[in-house]
Amino acid sequence: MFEHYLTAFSTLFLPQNVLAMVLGGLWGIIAGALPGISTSMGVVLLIPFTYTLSPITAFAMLVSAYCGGITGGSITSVLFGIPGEPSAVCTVIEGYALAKQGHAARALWIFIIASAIGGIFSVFVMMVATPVIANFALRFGPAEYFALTILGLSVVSGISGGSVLKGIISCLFGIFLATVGTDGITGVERFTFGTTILLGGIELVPAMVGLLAISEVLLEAEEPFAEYKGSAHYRGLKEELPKFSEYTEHWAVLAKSSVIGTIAGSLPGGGATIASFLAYGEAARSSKHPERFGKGAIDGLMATEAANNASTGGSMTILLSLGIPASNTTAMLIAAFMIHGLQPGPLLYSQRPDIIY
Amino acid sequence: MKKVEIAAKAIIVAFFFAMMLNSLKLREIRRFGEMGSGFWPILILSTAMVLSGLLLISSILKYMREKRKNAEEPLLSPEEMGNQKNRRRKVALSAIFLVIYVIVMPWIGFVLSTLLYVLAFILVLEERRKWVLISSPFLITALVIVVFSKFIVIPFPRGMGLFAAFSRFFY
Repeated sequence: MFEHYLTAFSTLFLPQNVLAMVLGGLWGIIAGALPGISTSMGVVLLIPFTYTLSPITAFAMLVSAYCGGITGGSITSVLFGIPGEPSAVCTVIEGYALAKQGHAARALWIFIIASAIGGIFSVFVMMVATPVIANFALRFGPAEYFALTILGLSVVSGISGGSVLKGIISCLFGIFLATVGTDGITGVERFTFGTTILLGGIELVPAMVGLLAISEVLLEAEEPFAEYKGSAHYRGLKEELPKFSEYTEHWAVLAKSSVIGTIAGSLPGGGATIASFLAYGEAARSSKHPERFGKGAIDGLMATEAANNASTGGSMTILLSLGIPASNTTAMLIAAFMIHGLQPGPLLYSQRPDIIY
Repeated sequence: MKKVEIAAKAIIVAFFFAMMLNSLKLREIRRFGEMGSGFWPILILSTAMVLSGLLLISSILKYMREKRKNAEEPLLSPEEMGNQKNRRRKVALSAIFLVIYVIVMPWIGFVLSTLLYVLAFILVLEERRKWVLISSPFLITALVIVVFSKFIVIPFPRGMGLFAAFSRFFY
């Protein structure tokens, strides 16, 4: 395993891959910060640019955009009170309250460092857990995959938008779409209505772009972000650099939120938004000063940011080891894998360790 | 709960019902000992039909309850109702323009359809600044063509006849 990591490090630090990561991360931050473009949409828009790249460079760019997007979503939350990402809603509550008190730079420092802690924690979890889960999953047979699929669908149904019924109907609609085309076993045409276009079924990439990206465009069309009209007294980044003791004081919140974020991120249908709300709720519940929440509580801001960034590692662990997308963005990454002729899951782990590591 | 939402749910029930009828034709296409091609579609669609029917019934009941309550005390002010209506109109128009865009693209080509679609979408979003209305469709279309058609060589639809000749000027 260690030799794979050493090879991966040497490959990753090739100039083209470093450039890809920088550009991907930068695009992710911009996409996440813009209220009209979510992280998943940012990844979708980036996918066509990776067609001509090698798979390793392409995934370095796309995963950087994913992580950058989650972080970037909090910039506008803190500065303007507009969540660039749904996962940054809790950041608005505490970060924007700090900004209104004139501590915008302080809020930015706190969220960036908490994000880095959460993100790095989840990467370590991913490095340790992915090979273990993938090796275990290699022993899976049809029964285990069936059980895993049912688990994924039931979790998605249970936590989708508050209505279990709508969640189940959505899952059933998804399965129905998968039945369109030529049946792989009997060769019978299903729901093709005499056209040749549907013989091969509905491809995953257009289906996901149509269902996820376009629905987000329509949601944004319904409620475009409000123009910011307030003002906050700004203090410099140097002046507002938080002391190290502030982090040691809240180490328990950071640790707990990172764990919550990683676990919530790994659940199918979970993702950064649920992770940040769970961690924020837990931080408010266990805080010695719950009255400060909603008025610029540092531990609240740390909790939500550590959790939403930690969710990326959790989502990637499940994607790489089992091939299950835990969030919209990882579903888009599956599409990117397929475009490059790869099928994420335990087999990819043994066939293309260069990409996985 | 609005009438439009009830209508949308009724359409969902009708869709699953129509697909269910279609899937019944697949029922007997199987060999001995196999589930056959129709098993999963019939199971999925019948379950989806029943569940969406339940959703429709619960929505109608909710609508009737709200209607009785609203008769005594309106839930939304006229201003809020106006805003809500406006938002729904925007979503509906966005979706309609998107469908038209996808349908007409093979006929009139990518350039012309994108130009018109971007302009229509900006107008739906209530942008009224002239310089944005004039420059955005051209800039966005040019950017997409340069990046996707020239840089990563993705073949865009050129359209037919006169429109194809027009598209050939660009890619």
